[in-house]
Amino acid sequence: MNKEEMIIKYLDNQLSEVERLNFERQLADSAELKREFKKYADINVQIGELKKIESNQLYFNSLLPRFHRMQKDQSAVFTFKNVGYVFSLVIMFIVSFTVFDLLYQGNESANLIKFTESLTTDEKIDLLSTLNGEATTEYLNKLYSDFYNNDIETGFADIPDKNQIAVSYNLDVNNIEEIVTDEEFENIYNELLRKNFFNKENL
Amino acid sequence: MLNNSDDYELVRRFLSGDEQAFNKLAVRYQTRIYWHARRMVGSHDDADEIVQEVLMVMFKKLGSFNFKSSLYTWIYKITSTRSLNLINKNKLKRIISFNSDKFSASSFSDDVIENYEQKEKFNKIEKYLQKLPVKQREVFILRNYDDMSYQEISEITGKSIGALKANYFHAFKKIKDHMEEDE
Repeated sequence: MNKEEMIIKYLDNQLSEVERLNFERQLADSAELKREFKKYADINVQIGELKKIESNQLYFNSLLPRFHRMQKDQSAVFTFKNVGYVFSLVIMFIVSFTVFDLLYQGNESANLIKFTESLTTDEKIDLLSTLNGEATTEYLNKLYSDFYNNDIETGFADIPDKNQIAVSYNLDVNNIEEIVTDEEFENIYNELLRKNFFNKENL
Repeated sequence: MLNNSDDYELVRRFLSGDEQAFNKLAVRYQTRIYWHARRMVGSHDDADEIVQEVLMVMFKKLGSFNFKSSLYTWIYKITSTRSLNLINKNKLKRIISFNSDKFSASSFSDDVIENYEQKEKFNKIEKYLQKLPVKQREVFILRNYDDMSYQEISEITGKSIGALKANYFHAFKKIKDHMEEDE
């Protein structure tokens, strides 16, 4: 242990009884050790004088009232902050829902278009024929009333050998629709749909 | 020395809803909290901020005090932690603002110390304390100003007694060396 360590431990009461006695003996015999010891002892004295400080009691009396004021302010801020957080969460939810809804709707339309494009013509006709609601029938009738009225005749006009048939059966060509069976009529109707409804120009 | 059983009784009463019990505890410890913080951070304003923080922590966390250690050890631990946090925060502020002044003259401006002669002595020692590394400063203050045993300091700082004694030695030696340089 060097002399500084001994001095500090002595002043800090960390020496054993034997070490303390030994140090005091050395202190008595050495002027240099005495000088060094005095420097540390003076610091100890200065510190000792500052352990009890005459302080402004007004300051310390103000601490508790200020603390309670701060505590009340913090509760108000805490409540306000919580309301703010809840409001922000609600806004985020609304925005997220709106964005999701828009994206989903967009996707829904795209999916519907993809689906219809994937169908064959016959599948489309089947699909239409199952849409047997009044509105659908009304819509189709309205859309194709002109075609129905005009193109049925045109369609008949396209039937090959119509005149031949009329002559063969001694019929007026204009009365030919009266002899067409329901099935044949259905076929002509579907043919018209195929030609007109799924004609890209008419879409 | 403060009576531990009194402290425990006040804590129990506070936890049962008696706010006056908290006020008594605060008055009992506020001076020690302030001076410990003041010597650690070297500034009245910073020490004042720490006192308010420590009182707030006491108010909120006394429920978690487990009565295994003394209350004042618990309070000193909080005070030391807050002081160290503030010192680190101020260090960072100085780096960001490129301010190299570690100890500004404004630290001297406060009216807490009434006796002028004592104020001069206090400021002189405070200057040397602020030159110490934080860990050495902490041990030196707890040992010399708060008269704590190394066992108590170990509970507060979490360091071993051997390490604390070494820190104390280096702190004392540095203060002496700085004083010699100034003479």
